Amino acid sequence: MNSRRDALKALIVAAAASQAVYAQHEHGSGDLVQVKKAAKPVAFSADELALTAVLVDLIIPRSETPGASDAGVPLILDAVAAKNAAFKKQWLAGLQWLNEGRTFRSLTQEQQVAILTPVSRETTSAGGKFFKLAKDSTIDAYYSTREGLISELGWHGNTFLKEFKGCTHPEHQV
Amino acid sequence: MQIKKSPEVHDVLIIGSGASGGMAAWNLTRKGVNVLMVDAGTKFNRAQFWSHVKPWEDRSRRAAGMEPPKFYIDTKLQPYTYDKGNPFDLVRVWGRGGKTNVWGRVSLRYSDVDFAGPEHDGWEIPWPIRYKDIAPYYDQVDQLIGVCGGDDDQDSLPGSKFHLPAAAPRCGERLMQKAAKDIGISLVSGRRAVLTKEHNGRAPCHYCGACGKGCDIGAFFNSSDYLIEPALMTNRLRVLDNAVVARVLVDDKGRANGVQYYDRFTKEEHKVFAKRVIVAASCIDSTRILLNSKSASYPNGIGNSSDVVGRYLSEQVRFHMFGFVPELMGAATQNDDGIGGEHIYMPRFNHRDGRKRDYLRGFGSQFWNTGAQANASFAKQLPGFGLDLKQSIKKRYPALVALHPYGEVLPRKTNRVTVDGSPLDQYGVPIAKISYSIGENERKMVADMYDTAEAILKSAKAEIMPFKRGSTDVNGSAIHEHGTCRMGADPKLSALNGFCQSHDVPNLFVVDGAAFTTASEKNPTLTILALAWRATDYMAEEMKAGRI
Repeated sequence: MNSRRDALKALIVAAAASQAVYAQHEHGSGDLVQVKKAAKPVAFSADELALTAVLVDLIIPRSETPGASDAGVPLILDAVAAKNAAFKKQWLAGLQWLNEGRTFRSLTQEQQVAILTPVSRETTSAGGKFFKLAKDSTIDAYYSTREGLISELGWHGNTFLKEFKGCTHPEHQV
Repeated sequence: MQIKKSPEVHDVLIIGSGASGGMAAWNLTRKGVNVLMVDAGTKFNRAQFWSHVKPWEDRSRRAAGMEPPKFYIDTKLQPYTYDKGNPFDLVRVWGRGGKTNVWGRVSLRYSDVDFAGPEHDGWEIPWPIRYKDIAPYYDQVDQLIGVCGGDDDQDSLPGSKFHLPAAAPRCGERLMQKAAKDIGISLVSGRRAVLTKEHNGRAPCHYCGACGKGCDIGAFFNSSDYLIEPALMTNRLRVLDNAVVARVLVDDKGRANGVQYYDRFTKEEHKVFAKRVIVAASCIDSTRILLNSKSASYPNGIGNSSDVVGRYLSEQVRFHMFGFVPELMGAATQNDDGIGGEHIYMPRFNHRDGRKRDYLRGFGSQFWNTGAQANASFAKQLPGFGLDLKQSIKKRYPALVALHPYGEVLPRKTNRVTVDGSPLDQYGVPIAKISYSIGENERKMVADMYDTAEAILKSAKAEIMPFKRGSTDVNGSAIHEHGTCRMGADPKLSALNGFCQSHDVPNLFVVDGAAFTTASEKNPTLTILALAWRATDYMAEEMKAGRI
């Protein structure tokens, strides 16, 4: 059994994850950039993580509310990749596609958007398939963070209520 | 290996601990009967449920190597099989309470529209019972487990004097009710086995909406807390955990007299004995056990002289349609958790005067996922990316409405479970093979279901998410398997009588969904509970009279 290495890996993932959670509790979303630097990716290289951050921010950018990388999406995807070899393979192949004949990160945002726009409209080409994966994964990850669910969407569920009033708007009644 | 035999002979042995097995144990023990329950798993610990673990906490917990209770059996460990290219999703929970630990809690009474359906249209055999036979049991079940709902009964949905207060509809659900009403369809209050107020000393729901992870306070019916715990208190119930039943045993007179089982983990073979056996392992596993119980008396599997055991498997067809209602676009996000799942229900209406249809039977609809969820999965279907996408998601998030129509699948002889020639499981027992497909009747019904769902959303002026007309979920997805050991009056055409008693083997009963003559469009658990109660009342009388 490869238990020692696995255990070590699990520890690193756990440490990274708990660090991110603590940081969010203590500092709120604004300081997450620092956390990102402190926590190291497991499945991705530093370059791959940085490119992932650029991509997910193009999908869910920062506005008055945090964007995807503010919410820690790149490290969430790294953790997914660490556990799911098929995802890792597809993701890294996708990053390579982004860099084909160019260095995606060094392009202007306009150029980056121009590359993504056609592949966002189809799901048959290699780029189209990867963009669909990137978009779906970013949505899943971002809207399962405090930033995505609470700060952005205003979700305040999964709590204890004494009473459930339902719809109280007179204009919605049957 | 030496087979371990327990010398004790129990009054009654029950295979399985879900809704039907729990009900059988509860009802028999309170009548003074000694019961041995043989269950494939162990009790789930409510204190370990992740009911209040937020999505981001869920992730960090898993990263730290923690896991929530494993309700669902891994199909790699305990496989089943199906015809190539024709998949069937079989969901099984091995553990005390079975699927009631995580069930959808929709609690609908069958009506005579359902019970008299086969007689009316001539498709397959009639039910041996009518609503009047089961109505008193529905009343008792409602009082025992606590079912919330309204008094908005319909001919296809009989009411109850014992409903707990209905859950107040969310905004999106109100708007769906309004939209449906405008086109002549009446959506009633949801009827769900959730405690909307304290009931029989049990704490009410606290509206956290995480029922699918198991309820940490037991505020919705589950067989373990509501039936098996009280049965254990009588000291007349013993539960054998981690005991995977392979076969029902018979004596030389052809009577059921116990079961052969394997320890789930050590795989050691055991035999335990009883004067009567109740099979309640859920439809497919019960059927598999019966078919594997071959003997000189029963070469075709126990209780199967009719050759109907395993046949007439009936699930339900369903799909999902989503939309966004204009009134709630960009509205402030509300806490839409409620009792988890929908607070409204669309009863069957297609049988009524003036409605034409070119198929048999009918459909209803559920509405879960209406309102703010703890995710934004719908966003994957929205076009584009960037700030536009982000804003488009936020705007639509409070406005999500969802329809989930469920339609009856006709019982067909060829839709069946078999074990002959199947691969063996880890205990050396043939696994179930499921051959199942839907036909022309269902395809026509599904077309009507799409038209109806679309009409309601259009009436609501909703923005409708793209859908593929005619497509349905993988068969089995409704997790409502019925019919493979059906009840009927004619022993040549049915396996059980109206009291779930085997025509061939009077001391053998099958009380789960397998006993149903038809599937109907409704969620079956309430009817399973009522039928199991009725069956064990009858059984106790038969025992007293010395007939079994």
